[in-house]
Amino acid sequence: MRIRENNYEDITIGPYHSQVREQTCWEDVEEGMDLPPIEIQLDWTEMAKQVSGSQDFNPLHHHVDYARSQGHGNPFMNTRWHEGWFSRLLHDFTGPEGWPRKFRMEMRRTNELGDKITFNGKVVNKYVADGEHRVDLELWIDNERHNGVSSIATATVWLPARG
Amino acid sequence: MPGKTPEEVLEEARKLIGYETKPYPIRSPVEYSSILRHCMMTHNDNPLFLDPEYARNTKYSAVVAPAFFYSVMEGNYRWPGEAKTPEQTLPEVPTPGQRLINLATEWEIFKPAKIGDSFTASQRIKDVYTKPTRLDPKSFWIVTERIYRDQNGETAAICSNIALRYRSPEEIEAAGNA
Repeated sequence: MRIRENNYEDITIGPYHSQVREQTCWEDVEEGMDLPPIEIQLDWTEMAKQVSGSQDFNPLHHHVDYARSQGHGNPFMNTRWHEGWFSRLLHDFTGPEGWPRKFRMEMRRTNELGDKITFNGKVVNKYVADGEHRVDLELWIDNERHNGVSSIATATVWLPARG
Repeated sequence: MPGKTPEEVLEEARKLIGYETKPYPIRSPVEYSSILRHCMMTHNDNPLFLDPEYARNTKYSAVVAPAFFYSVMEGNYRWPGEAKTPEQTLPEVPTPGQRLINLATEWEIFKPAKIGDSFTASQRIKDVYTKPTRLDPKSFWIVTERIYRDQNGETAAICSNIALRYRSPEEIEAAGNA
């Protein structure tokens, strides 16, 4: 990871910048379509960004000895980190004219320091309700250490419609 | 609560269901630097959250915060001068175990937070029950709700949270693995 002088772009954004600049319209969405996956290695830099971005200083999320004293293998990512990343997927999908309306998340297993994870999502339903064009999505995190899913979420977003 | 069984502690804990705090101010108005840190956390360079020039030409006419940013604004820790009054503070729910892990959140968003908006929050205890988990056969599930209102008193978002309080393996063994 190269650090350019006075430019921490490699650390701060890396290769994971937002995918979407054009607006997604409701008509463009198909049930069953997948959101682009995002893979991340949870190293100490990601742990530091988690604390900074979430303003959650609970030592479970950054202190190895404390996390282990509470029965965990390593410090693990906090609730706001999960919410933040899931919102990243949703906003990439909705574009600037759409917005998330409802969201539910379950953190079933921890995503810990050292883990390699992948964020995923797919469209499960599209419909019109209360005058809004809505899309339901399922989101989840695959974790290599667990050899499966660590966290799941469902969301309802609204999108602009052309017609 | 030393000397009490989990069932007795649960009975005490459930008396708090419905308790609601008075609103308290969230630390600071929505500001660029905290949104930037959040975007760095999620590797997000979406100009809607970062670029005033870009955001000015959207329907929001200003930089907005990502959807679930309200809890980030609130933060976990109170600095001197930010202390909440007793009426603004949720009472601690009595539980046999003191270990804590957050399990789930649920959000309903009514409007985005824009630069310059300021918010208050109030909290409510929605439910307390026991349900076995692999961590503790008498895990306490605590459901709380936060209501975020903007400077006009309009509800901007509601967040429900489920947290687990559980005993250590030693405490469970001392209780006869019950």
